[in-house]
Amino acid sequence: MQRIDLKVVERSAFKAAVDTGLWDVFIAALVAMLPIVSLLGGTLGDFWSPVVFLPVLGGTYLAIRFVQERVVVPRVGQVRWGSYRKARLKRFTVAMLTVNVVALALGGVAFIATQRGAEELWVFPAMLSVVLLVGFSFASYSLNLPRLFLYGLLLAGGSLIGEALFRQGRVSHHGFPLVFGTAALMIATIGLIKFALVVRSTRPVSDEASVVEDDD
Amino acid sequence: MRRQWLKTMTDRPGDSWADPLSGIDPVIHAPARLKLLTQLYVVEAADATFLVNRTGLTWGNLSTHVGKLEESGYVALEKGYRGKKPCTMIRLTREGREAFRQYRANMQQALGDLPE
Repeated sequence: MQRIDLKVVERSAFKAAVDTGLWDVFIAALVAMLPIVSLLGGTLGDFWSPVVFLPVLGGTYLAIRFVQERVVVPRVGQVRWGSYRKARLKRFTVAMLTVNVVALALGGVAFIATQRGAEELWVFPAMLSVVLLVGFSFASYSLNLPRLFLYGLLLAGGSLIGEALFRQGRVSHHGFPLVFGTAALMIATIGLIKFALVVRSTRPVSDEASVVEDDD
Repeated sequence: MRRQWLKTMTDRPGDSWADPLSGIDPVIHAPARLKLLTQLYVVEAADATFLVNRTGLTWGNLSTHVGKLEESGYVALEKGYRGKKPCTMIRLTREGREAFRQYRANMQQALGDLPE
């Protein structure tokens, strides 16, 4: 007979409710920002290219929330998490904020370093790799989703590969469009496959409340 | 040793020592309700859809067992709305949580020392 491990049950419940592939699509949209912003940078400038992309990101977020409400919740159901998961999610939020603040600071350092001629030291791609790997590792650990760690490896490696290809003169824009475009496509594909599997394995419930209320 | 022997001699039939399973809560012990309570124990509250998916129970079974658990005071239903749609969340009450904890402890105690 199998032993009931409550931690495993909790993790499994969390995965069932959250790991529907939709957030992978959002991550893919975030990653896609890197190649698109770098391509637009030439025409719109370094400030306006990310600003133009923000509505796209906002639209993706709203679309995901819409699909979540209309497609996922009627099939998967909804949960309010217990104190253990809430604490874990809180730690995740704090860790992500810290990673972002550190990334911003490192970005400043990298910018100053490259201004002073440290271009050859790979300062910027190396920092980007570390930030991506650390961020995704934290996310993977806090959310119990090992797949996120693989995304971290993919993006961290991609940053270095893109830079290497750029220095060999094979690609433009530090390899961002090729490397992060491919990564975004891969992540989005994984997310969509996961989402299709979730939709296929569950049936929508139009009037779930009545089932329990019938006994009243 | 002597004290233990004395306790053994003075224990009445039906005492927890004499029948370790007497402390097992029959409301929780049914497999379907045990599945339900296990799922509810690890979250704060969940709706019926989530519980049907997680336990593999049919809607009818879920309704019956949730009714029994509610009668025993182990679960409470929170009726509300999500947008315009009615939504019922099911949660373990404090008594339900304590009963589940006690059930776990009793089962571990009752079966923990069984010889292979």
